[in-house]
Amino acid sequence: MATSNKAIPIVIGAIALVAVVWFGSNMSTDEELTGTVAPAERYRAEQPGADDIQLGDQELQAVLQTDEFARLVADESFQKAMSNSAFRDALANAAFHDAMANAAFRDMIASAEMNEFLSSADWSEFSSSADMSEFMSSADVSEFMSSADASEFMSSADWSEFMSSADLNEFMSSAEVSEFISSADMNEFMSSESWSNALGNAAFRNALENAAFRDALASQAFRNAMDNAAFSNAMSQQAYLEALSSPAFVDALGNQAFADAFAGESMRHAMSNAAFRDALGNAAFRNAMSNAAFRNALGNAAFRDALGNAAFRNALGNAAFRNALGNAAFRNALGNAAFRNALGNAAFRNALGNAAFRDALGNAAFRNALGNAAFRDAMANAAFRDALANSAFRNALANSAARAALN
Amino acid sequence: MAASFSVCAQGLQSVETDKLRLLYFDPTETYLVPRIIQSFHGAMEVHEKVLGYDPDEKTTMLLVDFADYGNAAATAVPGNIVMVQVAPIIPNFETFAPAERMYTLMNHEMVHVVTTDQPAPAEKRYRSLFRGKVLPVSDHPESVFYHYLTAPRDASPRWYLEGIAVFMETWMAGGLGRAQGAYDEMMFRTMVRDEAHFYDPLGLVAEGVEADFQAGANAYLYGGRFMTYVAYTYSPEQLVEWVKRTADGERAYDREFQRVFGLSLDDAWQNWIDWEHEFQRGNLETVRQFPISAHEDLAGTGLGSMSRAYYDPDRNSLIAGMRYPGVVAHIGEYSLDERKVRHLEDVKVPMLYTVTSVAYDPDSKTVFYAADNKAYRDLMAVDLDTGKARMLQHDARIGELVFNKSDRSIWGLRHLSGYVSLVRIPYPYDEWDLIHTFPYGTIVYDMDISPTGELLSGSFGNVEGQQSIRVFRVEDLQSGSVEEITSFDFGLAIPEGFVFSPDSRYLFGSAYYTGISNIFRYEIESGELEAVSNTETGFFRPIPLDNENLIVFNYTGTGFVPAKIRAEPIEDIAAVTFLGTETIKKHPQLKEWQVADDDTPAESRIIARGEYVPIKNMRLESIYPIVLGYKDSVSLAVKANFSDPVLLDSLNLGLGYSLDGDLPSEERPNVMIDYRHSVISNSPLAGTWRFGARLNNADFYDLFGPTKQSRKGTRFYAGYGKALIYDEPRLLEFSAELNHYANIDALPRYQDVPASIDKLTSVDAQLEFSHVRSSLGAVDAEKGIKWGLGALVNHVDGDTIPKIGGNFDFGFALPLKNSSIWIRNAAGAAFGDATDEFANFFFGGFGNNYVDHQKVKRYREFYAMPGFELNAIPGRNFHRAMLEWNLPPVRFSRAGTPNFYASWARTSIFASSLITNFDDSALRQEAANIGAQVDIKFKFKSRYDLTLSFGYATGFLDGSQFDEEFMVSLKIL
Repeated sequence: MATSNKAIPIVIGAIALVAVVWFGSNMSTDEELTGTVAPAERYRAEQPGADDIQLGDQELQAVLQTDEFARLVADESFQKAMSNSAFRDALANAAFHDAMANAAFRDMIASAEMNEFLSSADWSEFSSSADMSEFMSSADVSEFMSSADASEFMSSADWSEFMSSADLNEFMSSAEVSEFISSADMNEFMSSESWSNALGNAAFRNALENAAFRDALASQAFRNAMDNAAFSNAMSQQAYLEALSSPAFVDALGNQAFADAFAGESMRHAMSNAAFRDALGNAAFRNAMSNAAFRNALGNAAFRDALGNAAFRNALGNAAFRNALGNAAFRNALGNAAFRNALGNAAFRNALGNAAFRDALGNAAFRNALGNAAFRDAMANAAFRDALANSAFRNALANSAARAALN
Repeated sequence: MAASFSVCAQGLQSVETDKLRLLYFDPTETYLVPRIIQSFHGAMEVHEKVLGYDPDEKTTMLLVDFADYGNAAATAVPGNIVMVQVAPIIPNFETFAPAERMYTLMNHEMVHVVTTDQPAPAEKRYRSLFRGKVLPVSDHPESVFYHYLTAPRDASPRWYLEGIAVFMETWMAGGLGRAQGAYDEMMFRTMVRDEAHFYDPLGLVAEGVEADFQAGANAYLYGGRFMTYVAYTYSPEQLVEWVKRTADGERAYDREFQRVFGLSLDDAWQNWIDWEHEFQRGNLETVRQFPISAHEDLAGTGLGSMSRAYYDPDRNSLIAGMRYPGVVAHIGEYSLDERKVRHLEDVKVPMLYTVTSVAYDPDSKTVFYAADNKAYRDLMAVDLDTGKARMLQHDARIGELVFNKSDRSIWGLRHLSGYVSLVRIPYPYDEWDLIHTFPYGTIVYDMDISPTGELLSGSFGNVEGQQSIRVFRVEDLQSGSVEEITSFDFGLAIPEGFVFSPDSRYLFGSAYYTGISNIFRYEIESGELEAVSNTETGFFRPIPLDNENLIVFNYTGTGFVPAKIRAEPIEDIAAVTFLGTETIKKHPQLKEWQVADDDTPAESRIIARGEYVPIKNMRLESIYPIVLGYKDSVSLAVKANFSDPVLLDSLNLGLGYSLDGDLPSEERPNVMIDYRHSVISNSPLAGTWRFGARLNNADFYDLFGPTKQSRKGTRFYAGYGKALIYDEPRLLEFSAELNHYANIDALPRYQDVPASIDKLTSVDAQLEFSHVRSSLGAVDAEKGIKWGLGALVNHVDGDTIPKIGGNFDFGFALPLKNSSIWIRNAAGAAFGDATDEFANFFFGGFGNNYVDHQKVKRYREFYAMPGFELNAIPGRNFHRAMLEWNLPPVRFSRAGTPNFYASWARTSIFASSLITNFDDSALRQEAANIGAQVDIKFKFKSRYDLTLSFGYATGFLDGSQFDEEFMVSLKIL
């Protein structure tokens, strides 16, 4: 059969489609060569197809191949983080993996507010404080974090609504609250023995007997607050009443700044929000409020911004994230600047969204590899390459005895 | 420190089957584990069936991703080891099979393991006696003999070993391999047409694999061809009988050939050359049935290997990566007016056939290219006007570059963990963006972007070896769609170098469709492919000047020659015949060699898995008797070697006893213990640790000549080494060693300086940097710099005596091929009393023994001073300068026999000056010398290197001739 030049596409196409044994089996005869572009004859047996090739899980590769991942591993902050054992321990933690599987959490981490917050000196101070450490390792927090109540509470629509409410945001952003929370008085108060004692005694009766409370009630600001309809309405709610009965609140009222804040416009708006009132009524929340470090954090604008971030709130509502918070490795990592910088890295966050990558993080070797000064070296294991460079193995392969596939 | 030894090869995992120990990095290479197990066992089944291989040991396979192009290497001594670079392999010029790469690599490498490991009963006996296969080491030349007894076919020429691997890989892959390779056919057809010299077996090993532009590839090309000829002429069965080891066979490959075929290898080789001429004349006549395309050569000679080239009409020049013997590979501009190459910038680590990938921005006159092509590729740019080069991205692992004029972006292909990703590098090129990662097994190569920046084309290959051209809209790619607008399936033929015409109507490229690489044009709109050339050799990499005129690269025996052709559709082209195809037609039983589909789940073959810890895998490697020299006496000793399968950790023990009854009894035993441990975690302790001890150290080479390494007394040492920079050819290494000596009678470093003390403790540390390069055909570094800094502190008799020193060498290549000038400097100072031998350096002599195993060019060492006695010139401080001219090597193609031949001879001329104690006029000495050294390189049994050196130097002390020295030395291995 002759093969005209014009027919090349057809011939090649046909050969490609059929797993032929003889390439160009339609070879021309001598007489027919005139006017032909003849394909060379080469033996070709059927080749293994894609379905015949056994490969393992390739999901992780989808992450490793990305530009974002390349940027991540080249990022100095990430490298520093990876050299930190707390961070590596956190990465190995199943709860952390679960948290990372939550898009909201990753979005939260990606938010500008969170970034700002995590970069703030306040956060740095807060996260590394003894208070925070004590707080996070306390049985209360642990119990709270792992309790069904907490889980239910944190994932409740109310909480979510409350946390996302403009009112709370405004309230928490208000100068009054900020001033109050960061005031020396508040600090002192929160560290006071009375507060500690009050923790075990929630009687509203005691509160009423408390001079500070009485002083507060007598203050102009408080009275102004009381005149406010929203506040009045709040006062009628059971949750709020319970809040008022808490020793923390009782002592807080002894603080002028708090009283002013309490009487402020933002507070009034907040008080009109049922979710906030419910939150105040939650024992766990009140316990959290008992911690100086937490209170200081509340005084931090960036933290409040973070609270205003829907993703953060959603993450807080995520059981896995809360479990992660209950994990010592994760808490240690939170106190680490490198960790925060790494979390601020978009590529890392995106990588964390990949299940295979999270699984890989559970692998110690992989984490160690990530901890290498440059991941490109780690991927090839720089130390191993170095060892090979010095080893007899390399010498054996480098000499003429080693047989290569290619030259 | 003990803790460090528990740190093991973190990340290096191991799985074992009944025949394989696979080491890999988890998790980045984990996905390949099933594929490796599957292809390894498939290959082994064929080797068991065809070669009758019954392994006594598991093969250890190490997967690494240290390079951007895949490859593999294998050895059978001291154990069966294969190292696989997992990166994709591009079948440029059809120099590699288009089949799925693990399939081909496994088939090829296991041929090496089998043909060098397979034991006859005699080898089994020796392996039992020596408890393994003996690795030849220069410290103990007797090991060469033991090596030959335990693995004789390991001492075979490379063409033999690669030839049988190429032959078998082809038929094990159902015909996809170099035994049916179009490049191979082109090379021999061209040689016959040009009446070029065919190497005989001796010339091939002595010259052909060293100095030709195809260099080591000649071993594959000649070897594969000869094996195919033998199978064709006789039978595959007889070929197999030759290469396998049998009870009644000969150890030596050449004697076994004579036994099997009844004629000498040399005669058979000559028969092949005669046959090849006849065969290729037939092919040439076939091609010439139709008019051969006229071409106008644009260069007088071949430019060696070349990358893709670009034509700059403003300068009437071609810009490309070039590599040819005698000149370091570089980015060059070839002026079509002056017919001269302008050297722009050396290419760090070039490739053999394609040098590097190159892209060109004609507006800014910037050439982009990839450096480090056999490692992790760097993205480089060089300004065509100024020649100034800069690195844009280090270790980006991106190559196959192409420039988009419309937005100044560069597009390329990134190789990572065995995958290919299409990436875009926007101006100013400081980062890259992923466009798409292709599935495992898909290879992409030879991309181009249309002049308007709208279309991107590329050649694609899949796991079945099917090749195609695909054209995409750039806009689609950037928006995430990888749907081509048109494609053309080339079946198993490689579509090579397809580029857009200036009007984007056509893609011009080449393919071995007719068996010869001709130029084709592909009309994008109609999808029609037409041939536009009919050549006798091969045209590649067209550069369309317009739709009718092309610059192409014409294959010749000296490399590629740029030429102009008319691109007119040709109706008539005849196909050539392939030797491999004729062979399987004549011997269809070769079809049975194909590796069958193995659908056994790889997981079911795994019998063990875990982390690989070298020290836990140490086992006895070999044990054998040796002879040692202790001072002037002979000792008999036993050497025992222990190592892990990839030789990261080793323990070597030598126990001897002197036969000289006149020696004091405490000096008669000799004990040498060396332990090496590699810490390969990412800990600060990563590196190579060495520990050892000596009692009356003895050395084989002390039996010959004036230089003595043996020393009385005990020595304990601990050493550490680490490559701070391992970026070949740029290396920075740190090493340190702590030594403690007792009962010594001479200085450890200066044999002729008696020790006045009994104990000595010393610590030394060194930093050594090297960044040198050489061209094809070189026998030594031809340009670059080397420097070193060192400090030594001796603690003796309560005194601490420090010494510091350093050296700085730099050299440059001369226009004379493979010739260079080097200027070498060294200086040092010791801090102590001038009369204290520990506070002095000692200079003198060439330093080579009559029989030696250390560096041949010992005169380059800082302590050498040819023309004076050893250690004759002391100095508390010194400066030495040397001017050295390395003359071009003289290559021998017919000096000896294939089992013992001279490969080259090279002369070096040197002159040096030495000033010692320059701060003390009473002790100051000014010495100088002038001398020469001739080194002649021999090869014994294809495997063992020998270098015979002759030297002469005259020494001058304080301006007057002082002494002269003759040196003769034979370096073993």
